[in-house]
Amino acid sequence: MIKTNSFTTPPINPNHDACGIAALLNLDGKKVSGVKIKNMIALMKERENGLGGGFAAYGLFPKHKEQYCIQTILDDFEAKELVEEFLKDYTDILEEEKVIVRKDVIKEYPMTWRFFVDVTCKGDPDDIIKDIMMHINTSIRGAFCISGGKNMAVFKGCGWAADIAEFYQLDKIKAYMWSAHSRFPTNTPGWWGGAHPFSVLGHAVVHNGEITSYGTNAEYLKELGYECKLLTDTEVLAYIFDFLTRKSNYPPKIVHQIACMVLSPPYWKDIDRMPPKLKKWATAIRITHRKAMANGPFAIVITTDFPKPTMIGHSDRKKLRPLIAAVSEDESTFYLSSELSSIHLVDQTPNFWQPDPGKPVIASIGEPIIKGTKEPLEGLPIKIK
Amino acid sequence: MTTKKRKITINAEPEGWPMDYRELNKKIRKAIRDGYTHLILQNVKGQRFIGAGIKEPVTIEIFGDAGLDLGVFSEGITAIVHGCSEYLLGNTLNAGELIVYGDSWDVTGMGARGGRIFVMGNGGSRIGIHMKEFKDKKPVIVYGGTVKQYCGEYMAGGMIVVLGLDFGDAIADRKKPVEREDIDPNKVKDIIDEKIVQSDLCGGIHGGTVYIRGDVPDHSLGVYAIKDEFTQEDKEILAPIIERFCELFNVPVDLIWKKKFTKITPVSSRPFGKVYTYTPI
Repeated sequence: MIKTNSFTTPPINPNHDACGIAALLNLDGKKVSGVKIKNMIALMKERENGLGGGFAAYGLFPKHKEQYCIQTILDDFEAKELVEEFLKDYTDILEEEKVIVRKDVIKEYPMTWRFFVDVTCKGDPDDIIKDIMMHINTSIRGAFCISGGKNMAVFKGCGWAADIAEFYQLDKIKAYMWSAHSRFPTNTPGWWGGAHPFSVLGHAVVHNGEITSYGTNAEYLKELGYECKLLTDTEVLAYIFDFLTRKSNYPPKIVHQIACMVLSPPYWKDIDRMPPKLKKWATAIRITHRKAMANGPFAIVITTDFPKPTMIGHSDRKKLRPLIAAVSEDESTFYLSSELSSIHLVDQTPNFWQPDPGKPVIASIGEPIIKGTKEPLEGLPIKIK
Repeated sequence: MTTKKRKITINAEPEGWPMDYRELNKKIRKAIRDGYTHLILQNVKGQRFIGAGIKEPVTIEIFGDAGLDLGVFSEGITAIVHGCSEYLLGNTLNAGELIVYGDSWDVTGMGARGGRIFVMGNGGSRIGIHMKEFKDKKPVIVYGGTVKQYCGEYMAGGMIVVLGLDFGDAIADRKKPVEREDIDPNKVKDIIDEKIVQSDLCGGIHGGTVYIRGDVPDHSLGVYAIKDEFTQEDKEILAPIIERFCELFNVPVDLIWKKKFTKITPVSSRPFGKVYTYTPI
């Protein structure tokens, strides 16, 4: 019998872009509740249509810092057992719990369950967790893995962003880094799994816009062992970012700049005018990761814990989607948002700016913010072997 | 007849949460119908479409950050924003004056057909895209700070002026809404030329002029845009606009003329005429 109300299977009829994104990072590592981020995203209600909202939070499980937290949404207990059985083959489940949700906010909702696991089989644990996530999403009926990082989790669903925050009771949990997304799906269906953030391991991506190079990127990723099955263009960004940061062996200090440059590389005409060393870098990156370039309008916020907690605001080269960055007056909190008003709602800071087109803004705990405006390839002048 | 009502204050955040833009715009329209000519909007936080399509010559003063599409399709309002304005400021503006004591980012004055836009701070990409003019209807956009790439893209008429001024030190308390009196004229500084414009300036321009206060490198120019000589005639055209800008933002007029302007004009009125061939019938 075909189930009619499955939360983990994409709908056949796509609903028919103006997504809203907001994010905050406490540069001093202080944890705050989800009220602030909820207010930020709720102000931009005009940017969503109630078909998807989501949040990524970092620093949630101090007790299980070293374990991977596999957060899943499930249609029924049967699916939960399937996931559990599958996980037991490769991992050791230390603890599992049902994510407590409010029953009065969203009419129909799936079960959310999380597992804290240690990898037991041979190989790189990160790779194994990545493969586990992909297997759950593609092969286990009635189950969907929404995040699988350490000390972080993604909360998402089909509904208004503010409702999703209420639903998961984000006011009761505390995190040092938050990102939020409110969805207005245009080209792809609005469903529970299709809401942002898209997460793989410790990376989470929220995205406003569309990736028109999806086909090329997906093909490239398939060669590298990533399966794109979620019917949403944003997932390629998460996988490209994961591949470039974790698997490409670039020096950890500049790995985020390189990843951003791969996504929106400088034009050849601009490369021609670069100083020799940077020219060499830019040329090498453009040629090597040609198929990983993201085309089309996008503004994204990438939150990651690799190699250390970092938040990146990035846009396409023509800046076809809005993004505003800000730092609180005492320089303790870094904000990114689609609209300035949502930052000013929670913090009347005078230090705000619009990032340059195609250049990232990178903020990590305990480090100065890299604006990427002074030098297009700041931090990159390193010898090539 | 009742006494003539003139000023009214509307609080856009009455119950601790910003009002929906539809509600705010309804209140604005009602106030105009009731005969008010000076509307003061307090605590504005990103409400969109303020002053949309209003034909009456009213003044709307906004304290806070105006949302997208401020003054869209309007014909003769004066909007003064003490704060920032988001994208699409003066979208398809027909007449009137929009003044922003702050920044206003991408696609300002898109397809404007008249009116004037004065922004104290910085701009984003594609300022004045598809702006046009007809007879005496000439839209003008003036930015006090810098702009980003594709400024004046596909422009068909009107004027864009970018002054490259830094108001950062001139405003003592940037946390409260900026007014003219808050600006210290002696502390307004120049921004270095390289930062005033970015690439593809006036790409595909086929009408109108862009004046940049400072030198523009050739590689910053977009397709079919060329640098032209800045003549005395240009100075005369610019003078009243500069004067108005200085009056609004408390900048000494002498400071503006200290630096040379670069004039950018289209190569021809039909630059793409030879690119596309006629459709065969």
